[in-house]
Amino acid sequence: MIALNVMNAAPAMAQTGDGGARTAEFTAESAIVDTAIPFAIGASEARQSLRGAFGWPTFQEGLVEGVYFRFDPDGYARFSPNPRLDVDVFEVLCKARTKECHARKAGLTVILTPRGQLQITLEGVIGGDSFFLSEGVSEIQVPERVLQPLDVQMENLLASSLELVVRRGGEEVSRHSLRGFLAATAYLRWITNNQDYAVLPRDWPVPNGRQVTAGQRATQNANWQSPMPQPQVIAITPSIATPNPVMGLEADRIDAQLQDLRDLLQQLRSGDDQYRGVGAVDAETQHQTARVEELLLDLSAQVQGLQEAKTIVPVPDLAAQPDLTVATMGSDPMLLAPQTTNSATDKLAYLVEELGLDLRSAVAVLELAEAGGQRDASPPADGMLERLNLSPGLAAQGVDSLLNAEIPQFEAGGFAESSLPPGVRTAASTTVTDYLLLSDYFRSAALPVLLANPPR
Amino acid sequence: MPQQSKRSKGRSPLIGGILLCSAILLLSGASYSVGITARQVFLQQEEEIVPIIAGGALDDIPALMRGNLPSATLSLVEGRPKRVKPPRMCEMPADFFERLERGTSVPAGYSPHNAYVRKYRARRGFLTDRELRAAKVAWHYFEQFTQETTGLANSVGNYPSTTLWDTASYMAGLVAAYELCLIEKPEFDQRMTRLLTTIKGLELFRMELPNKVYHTKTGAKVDYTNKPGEIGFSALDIGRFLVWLRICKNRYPYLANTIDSVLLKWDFRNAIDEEGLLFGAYVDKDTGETVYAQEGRLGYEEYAAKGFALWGFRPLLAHRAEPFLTASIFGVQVPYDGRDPRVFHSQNYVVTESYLQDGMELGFDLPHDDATPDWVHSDGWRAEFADRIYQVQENRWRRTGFMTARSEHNVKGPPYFTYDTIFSDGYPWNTVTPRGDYVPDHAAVSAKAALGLWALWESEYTDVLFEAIIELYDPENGMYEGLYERGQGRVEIFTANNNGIILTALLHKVQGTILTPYLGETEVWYTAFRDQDIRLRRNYPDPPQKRDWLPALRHSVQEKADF
Repeated sequence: MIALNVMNAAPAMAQTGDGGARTAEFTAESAIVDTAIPFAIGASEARQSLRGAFGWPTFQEGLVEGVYFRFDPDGYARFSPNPRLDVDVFEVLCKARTKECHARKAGLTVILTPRGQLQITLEGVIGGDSFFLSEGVSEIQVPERVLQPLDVQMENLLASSLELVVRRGGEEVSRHSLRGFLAATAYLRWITNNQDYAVLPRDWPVPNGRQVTAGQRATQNANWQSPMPQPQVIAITPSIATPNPVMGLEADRIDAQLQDLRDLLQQLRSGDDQYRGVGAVDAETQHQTARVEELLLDLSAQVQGLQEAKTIVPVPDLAAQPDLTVATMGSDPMLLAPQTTNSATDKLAYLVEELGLDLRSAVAVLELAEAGGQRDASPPADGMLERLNLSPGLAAQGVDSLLNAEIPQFEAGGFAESSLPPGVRTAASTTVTDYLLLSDYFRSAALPVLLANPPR
Repeated sequence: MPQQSKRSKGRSPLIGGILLCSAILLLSGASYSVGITARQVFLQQEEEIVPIIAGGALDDIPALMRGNLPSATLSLVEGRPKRVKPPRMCEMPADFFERLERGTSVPAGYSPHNAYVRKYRARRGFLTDRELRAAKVAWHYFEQFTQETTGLANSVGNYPSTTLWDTASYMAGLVAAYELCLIEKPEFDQRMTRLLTTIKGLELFRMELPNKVYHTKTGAKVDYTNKPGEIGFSALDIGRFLVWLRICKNRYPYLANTIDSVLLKWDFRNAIDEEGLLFGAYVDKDTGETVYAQEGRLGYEEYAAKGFALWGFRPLLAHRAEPFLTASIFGVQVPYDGRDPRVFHSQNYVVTESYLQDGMELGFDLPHDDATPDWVHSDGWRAEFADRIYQVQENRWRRTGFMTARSEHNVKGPPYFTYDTIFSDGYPWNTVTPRGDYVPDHAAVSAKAALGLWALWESEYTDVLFEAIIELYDPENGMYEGLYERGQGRVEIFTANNNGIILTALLHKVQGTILTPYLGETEVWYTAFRDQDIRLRRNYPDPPQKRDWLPALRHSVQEKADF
């Protein structure tokens, strides 16, 4: 509520001050939107008719989803079914120099929560009021959680309705137009996500599709819809949902530890050249690896505690996806066996940074992967071997010699497919080059692991 | 029958042939003698042609010498006496206005030479106490917000940036303060000299013309966020600035050299084309290259064009009203620019300001007119259009009760600036932001427009406007920008433009048309760089001759209310 009050007060504050206008608003730092990037097909940047000494030089205007819009570099926007933008206007205002914006129309205010969900507030609403959505002919009643952070279904319902009606004891208290709701809320998400088209709704007329990557063409709800279960509190509360501060602190701690891990990883990587190919690990490296292991265990314990204390996380069974695991292992084929913990850290970083998983999910994925592989502190590379159907026994017989024996045969064109173990059978389309690269990979990745961890 | 045959025998073919030959010979001889005589006569006349005198009217003077020609003005060409610069208010005799001819008996309408006499006369007389107080308060804005380091005045309150348009407003305020005896010559000279020195030293936009915006504390060129950078130049701003440079030069000849040296740094090659259109410049966002675009719409364009014409340029097309259309509002055919905003991406705002400035500063006269009395407007259609602009606002007041004096003005808070128009974008009484949003809550009685109307149209309606505005001031900061139409109170903003125009209106009451005739013969502006190619490269003009005068035109006249 405080945040909302600050945002609402922003225009009023702008009207106080010196004997002139608050011209400090027109600073480069206040420009949070690039008006050259079209919000929708047909939108265009135009120059403002400035006569004075200050102001925003450009703006963007267009028509989308049946409403006309214009917005300035500071994020201020108007959406209206009328081209003059004078009636039934959704107005978007942003806190100075931030992307904290809200849309408002009469007594209706829409904000974007930190989780990326929409939440509406209505003036003059008290407990016991009932809410109806009207699309012009009929009405449907919606639950009171319409005032809570909206799920996708509720959001779609609001976007497809014309009015939101509030009744108290059967009598109408207020009626709020929802025309432009879809466009205004899409705009909120768009500027919050640095004008990324991926966050726009399904079927949004994204401009200039040729330059958009394939991944961005499809609506990616995950970018703005948190995978975490949402609170479904029925009671009407005047305050806006804010993230749990305790959760925030824990997350900060985990972030800090993750940063430590990254630093250590960087140190270890910088020292790779000293022992690569030697097959031995010096004392300093062992010490650092031990630290990493401790930190990871600590991290895992904290995450586990958080999970138990808060909620059950529906973790997708990513560990069961061999592509992901192999890709993770293969992301840095130069990682050596003594760096097994380092490899785990790298995987964690990969899951968080590259795949976009949140930290808890990523750690859970690693834990599940470890649990599926081995319960002791054996390196995860063993798990990889299992998934590749390479038994320790086979490894013990000397993969190196096997490969050395097979490569010349292949190079000579006499490759006997039947002589290979079934698990390492290559695809028919594999070329010589591919095979050589794969052999190199095995030589560099698997052999040191096997040497460092002889079969029991 | 036999007698008839005898007669026919007497007419022989031989005689007929002789007669024919004789007639031919006679005619040939006559025409030869006429030709010889005519040739002798023509040859005789050719010998009597007056030889061309160097520097005379028939002499095609080379560019090297053309600067010494005097500018051809109405007084010079027609041998009429020049208008006289009125004395300062404190130096006027007590009966000055009793002896002043106001042409009240002259009927309104166009003259055969397309000059126009308005139905209303301008107010004339000494300032009353209330008016003098308003003048002092308006001048106080400039005392308060002029930067000592540069001599530039802030456009808006204490925000340290300005444009040439607003700097011209400061010059207007300075001239008015001096002529109304609010300041004395030492302060006037000190302020004006510092200002002109700073302007001469300004870094130009890409070596051409002054940037659109400058920082008033440092004199550095800045962008719209007041950060060091460059935007481009505005032909309209430069046009208004040229008007006030000419006013100062004509009124105070001792400033002439300084003023000329300011302009002789500027490069006008891209500001005006061969057809006389004005061009502004801006920077292409993607390529960083300079883009020149036609600038100005009906009202502002003609005013700026006259500024250029006062310095010898020939903005023939910019000075014409065409293409224009009219919109019928409260029985008045209000003229507006006919260029389609969808095509040209420039709105056609109809506001009062440019007509007021033309009337008060230039007397609705053509640039070469230095002889006609104040009530005769040689640029007739401008005065007639201004009459319509006045009338439609009075009509709105009479029909709806809304006091109306519309102009562009700053507002407090977003959107900070509005075009509070009589007509724009197809709608009457349209109040829009610079990006085109309709913001009727920002409609206001503009203080500068109200005082300007009051000065130029002495009527019952402008008396009402005067009462609404004259006490609208803050003694510490100047006159307020205006009064909101929908009852939200004063527009609590203080600007150079508003206070400068209010001072101009008050000065006009005392002295009439602000522009006075040039009293010198030649000007450094025309004689400098004659031995180089700089004049050619920078498009500096020669002293205008009669053939260079802008034409006096007239358009269809609205003689009665159109319902």
